[in-house]
Amino acid sequence: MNYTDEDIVTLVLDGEKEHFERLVQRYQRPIFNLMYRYSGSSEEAADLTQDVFVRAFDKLCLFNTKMKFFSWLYQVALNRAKDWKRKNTRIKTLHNIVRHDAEQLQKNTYQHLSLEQLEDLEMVKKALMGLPSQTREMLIMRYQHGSSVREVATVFEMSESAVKMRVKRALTQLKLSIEETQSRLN
Amino acid sequence: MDISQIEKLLNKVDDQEVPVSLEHKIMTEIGGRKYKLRHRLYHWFLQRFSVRLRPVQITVAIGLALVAFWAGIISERSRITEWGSEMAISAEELSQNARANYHLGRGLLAAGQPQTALTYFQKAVELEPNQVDFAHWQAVAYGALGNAELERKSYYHLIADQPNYLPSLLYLGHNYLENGKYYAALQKYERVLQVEPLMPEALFNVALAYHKTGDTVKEGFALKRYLTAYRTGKWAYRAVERLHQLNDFTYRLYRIGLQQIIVNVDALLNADLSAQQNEIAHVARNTWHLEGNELHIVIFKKADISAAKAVALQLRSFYLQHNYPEQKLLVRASWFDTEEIIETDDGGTKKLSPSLLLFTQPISNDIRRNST
Repeated sequence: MNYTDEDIVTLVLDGEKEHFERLVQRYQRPIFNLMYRYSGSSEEAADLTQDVFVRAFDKLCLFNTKMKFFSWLYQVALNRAKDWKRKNTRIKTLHNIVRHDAEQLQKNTYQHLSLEQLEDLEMVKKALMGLPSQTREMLIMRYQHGSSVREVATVFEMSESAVKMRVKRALTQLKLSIEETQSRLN
Repeated sequence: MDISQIEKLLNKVDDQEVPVSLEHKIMTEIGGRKYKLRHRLYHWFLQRFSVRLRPVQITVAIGLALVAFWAGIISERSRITEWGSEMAISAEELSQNARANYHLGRGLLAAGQPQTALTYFQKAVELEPNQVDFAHWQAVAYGALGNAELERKSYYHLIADQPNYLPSLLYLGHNYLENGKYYAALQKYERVLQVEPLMPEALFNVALAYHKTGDTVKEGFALKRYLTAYRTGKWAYRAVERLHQLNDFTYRLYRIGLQQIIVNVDALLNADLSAQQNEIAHVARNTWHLEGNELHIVIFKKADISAAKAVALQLRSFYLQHNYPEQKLLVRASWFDTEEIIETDDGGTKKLSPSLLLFTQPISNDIRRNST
């Protein structure tokens, strides 16, 4: 049976907590990647992801079905990521950035993309990491996870017009950053 | 690269693979958790009754509330007029009821109307002169009106009939203290403490009286006597603060989680096992419920690392013996062969040895990883 997120929440709150695993399976990847972008470390990201899901479980009674579950979960994850970032030192963050780059070279998850596409993707990712973290996450939520402007506005506690403006400016900024990188390479 | 290409590529940014064991770890941790009925009810309520109000709705709601309020005021005015006439009928009956007069007097005194309160107390005493409570509060009303002499005489009169009547003994002590008769106040407070050794006002005011006399040694003893009995509330915190001003760090205040706990550091650090165990029991009672945290017990003993280590491990062991069924706190012990340097209230520093530091912090990720 194909349960919606809201169905699963109801089942879990009724005591059938094994259903929570469906939510974990559905959303652990975007949450893990969010945490990875903040921490730059797989181990740290795994711990933070675990923490997010446990918090989500503990606070599930506060989830209001008028909001999408993923948006709510993403909000929990963002808050956790920001807390983590506040508590961790600059030195550790730099170390993680170095590790992040090294790990990236070893990954090979884009066998279906051409070399040129891979290069373009690398440039977009590098440019993305240069954006402020909130703006970056708004873009990812909007384009990677397909969230509507309203959902993004709810998660980031902004007006819809502010979200649209921020996304537009961020895309322009990415474009300029990528063009600069391309001209340096040429 | 144009914007539309960038938008397409943003779709592919999430490229990290999730560790295979992560799902299992999450579900294992969740396995031990349960929802209480109130959580489910809260969720049910939230679904049924949460609303997002638009400005028009808010304006209408406020308007309706104002109309209801105004209508209520008009209705209440007419009701009070009816009720007032009922009061006029029963006042005559009340005037012959001593206890009713007494309670009226108490209420008026608490409301800051001692003159009016006194008339009711006097009526109560007139109707039932043998009722010692009525006479006592009449005396309190005299004091509230600034007539310290008449207040004192009233208490003497009461105590002459009932030597162990504690309220009057205590208030007589207050009367002496407020009027600069500190040794007389001390005598009365000690008399109260003979009958009721844990009377908090008497315990604290003994310290205050010694403070007024300038006897800081006895003041310190009295403060510690208070703290032996009471470790919470503003008087306890003031007692600790005053002891520190007297350069006495027997008791210290530690922030554990969201609360502050007063601990007798001397009891924890001296060789008397039962004193140590009693004090660690007090710490355990106030900390065991702090979920997701680790308690750190840190001992400082200058130039004696082995003694510091022995005490730290012993206290940790005593703490863990208090095996609360749902103990959620991890306990760690540390030790140093140096003095502890603390900041004093006047902005200076003080070195303490032997000394104890207690604090909590969230359980570190290393522990969480290793525990799953």
